[in-house]
Amino acid sequence: MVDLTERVSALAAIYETGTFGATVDGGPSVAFSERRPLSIVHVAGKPDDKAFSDGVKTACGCDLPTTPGDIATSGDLSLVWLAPERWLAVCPNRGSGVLEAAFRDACGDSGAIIDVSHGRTVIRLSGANARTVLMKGAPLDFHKKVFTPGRAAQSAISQCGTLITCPAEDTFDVYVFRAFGQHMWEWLTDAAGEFGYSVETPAT
Amino acid sequence: MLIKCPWCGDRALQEFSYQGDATVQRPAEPAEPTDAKWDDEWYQFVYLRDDPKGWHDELWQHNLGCRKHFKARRNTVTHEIADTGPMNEELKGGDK
Repeated sequence: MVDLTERVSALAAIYETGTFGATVDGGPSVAFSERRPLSIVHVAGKPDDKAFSDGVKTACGCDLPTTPGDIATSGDLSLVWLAPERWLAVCPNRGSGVLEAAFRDACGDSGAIIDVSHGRTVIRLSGANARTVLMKGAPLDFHKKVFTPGRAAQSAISQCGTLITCPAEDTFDVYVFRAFGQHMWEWLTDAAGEFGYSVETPAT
Repeated sequence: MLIKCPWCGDRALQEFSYQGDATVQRPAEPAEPTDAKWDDEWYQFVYLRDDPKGWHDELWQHNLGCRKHFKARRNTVTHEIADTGPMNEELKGGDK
């Protein structure tokens, strides 16, 4: 019998590790991998409500980032600013419902907490040309001095709403709704073809 | 074309959607619900819109970004945007 509680990647049918695209001197300059399994929780609340901001700090260990596009981190957890009063908490899988429960227990009724771990596909691009690949798709300012590590922005790639984060130098995570996962993977790998790209095994 | 989201800053037009006229006012509750004048006010509120040439206050949404609604003062002739701001703030600029 199929185990319906087992998490299956949206990319499972097309994910193949190896080296693809153009053959370039020095080897591929973009590396792809799917980030999984992750715990992802959508957090909404009023940042000036002390019960909420203190609750978030208790649950994840960092203060709410209130500057648009900022990311706060605490250990392996990132708290990404999505919009005024909305954030996304992301960390390696802590087990079914565990991160959501931590936020609910700490925030009580002061915030709206939703577990969206199963609803997102997260694609990581890294390497010298990762930035160039994203520039082909999203109408954002990707200048090295603007889109720096610790910054995030929501935009669209190939008309799909995406969240793009920059966790480290020349490393980007692209979050899309699970149903758009395969399309986004195919779009991004196609865009990286001219640089040559590698696909690594999924990791958190 | 760039539009300045009050939160995210300058972003491309394709991230935004137009959400209508920001100047329409919901009719006040009348003393008598059967008042014919109220029907007329509601008809105007729901269906009738001005089509101004020049500066116009509009509602926009940054729907592929932070998803917030905001107000923008746009010139319908030149497409210049003089000011954008949150719903609860007055816009400045233009010749209004």
